[in-house]
Amino acid sequence: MKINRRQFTLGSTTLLLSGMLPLKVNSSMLDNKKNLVVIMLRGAMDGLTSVPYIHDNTLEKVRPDIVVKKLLDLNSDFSLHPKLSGFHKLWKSNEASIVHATNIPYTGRSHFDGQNLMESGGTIPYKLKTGWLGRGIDVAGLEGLSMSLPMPLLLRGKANQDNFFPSKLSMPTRNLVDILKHHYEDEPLLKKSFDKLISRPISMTKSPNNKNLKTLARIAGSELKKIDGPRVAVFEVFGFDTHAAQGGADGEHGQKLKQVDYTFDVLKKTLGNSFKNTLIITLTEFGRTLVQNNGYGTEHGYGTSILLGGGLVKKSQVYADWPGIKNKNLFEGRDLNSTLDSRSVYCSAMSVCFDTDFQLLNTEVFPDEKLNDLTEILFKV
Amino acid sequence: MNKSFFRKVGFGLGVDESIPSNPLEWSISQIEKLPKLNWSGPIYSLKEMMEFHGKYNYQDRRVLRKKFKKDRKAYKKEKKILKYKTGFHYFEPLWLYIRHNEAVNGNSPVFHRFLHFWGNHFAIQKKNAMYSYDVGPYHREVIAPAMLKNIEDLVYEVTISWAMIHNLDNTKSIGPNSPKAFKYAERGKSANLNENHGRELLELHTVSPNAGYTQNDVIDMSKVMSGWMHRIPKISSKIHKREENVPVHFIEAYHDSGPFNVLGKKYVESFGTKSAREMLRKVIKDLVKNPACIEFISKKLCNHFITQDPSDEIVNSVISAWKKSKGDLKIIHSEVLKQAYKFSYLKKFQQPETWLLQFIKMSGLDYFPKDMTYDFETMIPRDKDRVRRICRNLGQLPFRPLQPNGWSDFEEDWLSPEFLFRRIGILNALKQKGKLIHLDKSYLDRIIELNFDNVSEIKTFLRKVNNNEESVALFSSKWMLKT
Repeated sequence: MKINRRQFTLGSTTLLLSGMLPLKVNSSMLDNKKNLVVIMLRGAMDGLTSVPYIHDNTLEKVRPDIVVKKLLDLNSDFSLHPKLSGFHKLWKSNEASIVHATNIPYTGRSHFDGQNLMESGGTIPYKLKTGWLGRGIDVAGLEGLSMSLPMPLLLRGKANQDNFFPSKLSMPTRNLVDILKHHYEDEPLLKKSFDKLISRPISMTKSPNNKNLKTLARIAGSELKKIDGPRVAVFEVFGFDTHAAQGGADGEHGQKLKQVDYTFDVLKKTLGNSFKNTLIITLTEFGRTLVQNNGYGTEHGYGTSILLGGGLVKKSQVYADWPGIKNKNLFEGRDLNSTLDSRSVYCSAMSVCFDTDFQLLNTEVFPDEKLNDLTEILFKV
Repeated sequence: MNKSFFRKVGFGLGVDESIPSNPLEWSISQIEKLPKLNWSGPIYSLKEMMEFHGKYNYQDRRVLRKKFKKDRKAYKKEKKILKYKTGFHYFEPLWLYIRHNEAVNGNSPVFHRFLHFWGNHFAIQKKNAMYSYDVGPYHREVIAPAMLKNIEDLVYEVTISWAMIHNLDNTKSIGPNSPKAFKYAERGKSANLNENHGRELLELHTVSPNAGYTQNDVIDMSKVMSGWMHRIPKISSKIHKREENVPVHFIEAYHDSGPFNVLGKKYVESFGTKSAREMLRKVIKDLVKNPACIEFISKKLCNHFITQDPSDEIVNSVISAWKKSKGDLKIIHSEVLKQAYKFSYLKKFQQPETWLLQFIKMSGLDYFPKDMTYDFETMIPRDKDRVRRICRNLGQLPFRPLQPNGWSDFEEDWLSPEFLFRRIGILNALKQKGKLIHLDKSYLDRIIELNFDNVSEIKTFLRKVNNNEESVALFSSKWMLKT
């Protein structure tokens, strides 16, 4: 059966946080406080491994040594990698969806250019010096807190961002802190930074030197659910560039997906009731080739998939303008094609989470681009 | 005397040094010749690093990935061994210690401050493990010698260096009007320009967007640059075993024959390889004479050494020196020093690495490992890798900027709670480990008298501090963070 132009319906590591709410808030604001979490999957996540197309046996034929077995059911056309079991639970409760056959409009297959563009949101590598999320935060008038050293391009905007990342370091004595506070009085930026530093919650001042994703997700979750906490968090997962030994269910790519999965899982558990007002979304530079290579891996490709989770997801669905994976359907005869500019998904996600008009974000964050407003299709508006 | 000058253009004065009687002469004398390295430990040339880096790439891509295609764990294990064998974890700390040693213990700290500036201006972004292998020698062998020449030489030599050609993908660029493109067309394939290097040469390295260049200028600049590439020879040849880590050549078959129009000037090549090869130099010669380039780089120098918002008077002095000397870098650097001396009371927030080096030099911290040799068989010992941990903790691994425009010189990009905490936290950790115990009152007094003009103000400030935290207070004070 040829599937085309349709929607499929259900049936290492860094963390950054941004977008502090004003401190003066009331309880009703907690219900309205929406959170956006972006997980950057560096190295090019294979959309056909995370969400394999199962309507025919093409993948089994072209990937005899790395095809994923023991898949989790999604619908009659797609399944889910078994390492995404936590994500699958969200799917079953209508809190997860997938956008497939999508990517940023970049076909050069270079990680460096691709990652630059996935973060900047531009079309010419290195032309934009800020990130789409940073610009979005600027448009929405939020103040930022990032949890990373140094700050990734994705969150860079006009505003001076606050930041945090776990370390073994500790502050000096209270006496010296008080002296420095007074000492920095006549240096505005120093004063602002120091004042924020010394008013951090205990969880951040006594942070463990544990930078694994579970720990970071727990810290992020507990900060995001605070009424005066940040509204945006960004994670980075490295190592998707599996040219060799990509493997099937237990291969290298699967191991990386497992990290993504427990990020979803820990966030769900930590956020508690705030999960209903949260959107978690993945971002990668491109997909991988359809056919396995001689090293039982895959090469750099084009189209891939996006995983979305959280209470702001409209319903469980695989949303795609599916191009097919027969030879004639492939981009340049080798890659899953991209039929949807993924920036439409990200712009829509910001629109929902920042309560900001889609067209305004499109114009200000992605100037000169005509993106599709997918807010009503993908999210609870 | 404005003693902050020694930190503005250098790394401050150590307690065993005396205050130079003529600070300006002291600084200018350091930029007039290539300083001899003070480093006595192991050192490797750029040529040797091409071998190491090439071996790493080849073995990983061509051997291990095939050999262990079915065994993920074995592949990871063998790749780890390959990293040991090729010094993957060793060279970056080695380059950093050499860089830091010259700043702290060398005879020409001012020269090295300029080297740090130009290394950042011509940044090699974090890409393809170049920070592990190539960036240190690129600074020492390509940039440092050219700092004694004309700006035109510096830009040209950096532009055709292996590090920059690879960093900005010029090897992937094929002139549309080149013999190679015609061959591609015969086979029904298209050959494309890669505009990355051409754009950054205009935007970041020379004229900046202030020149008002257009996309057509970028395209023609890229055409001029086509043909400058690291050639990858045939599979059977020995050199192929270094993958792309082979010298840069000008290969006319990939070069666009023009004519070119860059920033309103038409360039036409005459017949022959020599003319084609010399075209890049001709265009760069004009770029560095462009008023936008002169203003952009002059202001950037003032931003780095003097203050982030320099007056027109300051910038114009550097511009004037540039124009009068026709781009002689010794004269330009000399003028920056004169302005830095004249306006040494203006404050400038120091980048994390510069602050670290000033702290090390002024405090006499026991920082350098006794021995930096390596067995190429095991993980580099922790004491030899300390420099990377400190730089990572400060948020600035100097050889790994995330973007081609290098590390920011503006305090807004560095003054955040976490960045500030890292500096104070590192000082606090050193104090807790007893590493600052030698900084008793007399030692601190000596540091203050050598490096600050507001001696009594600082001493009054430190008298409020107790618990032996005076050294932490001094080095995290506003007078230290902003020079």
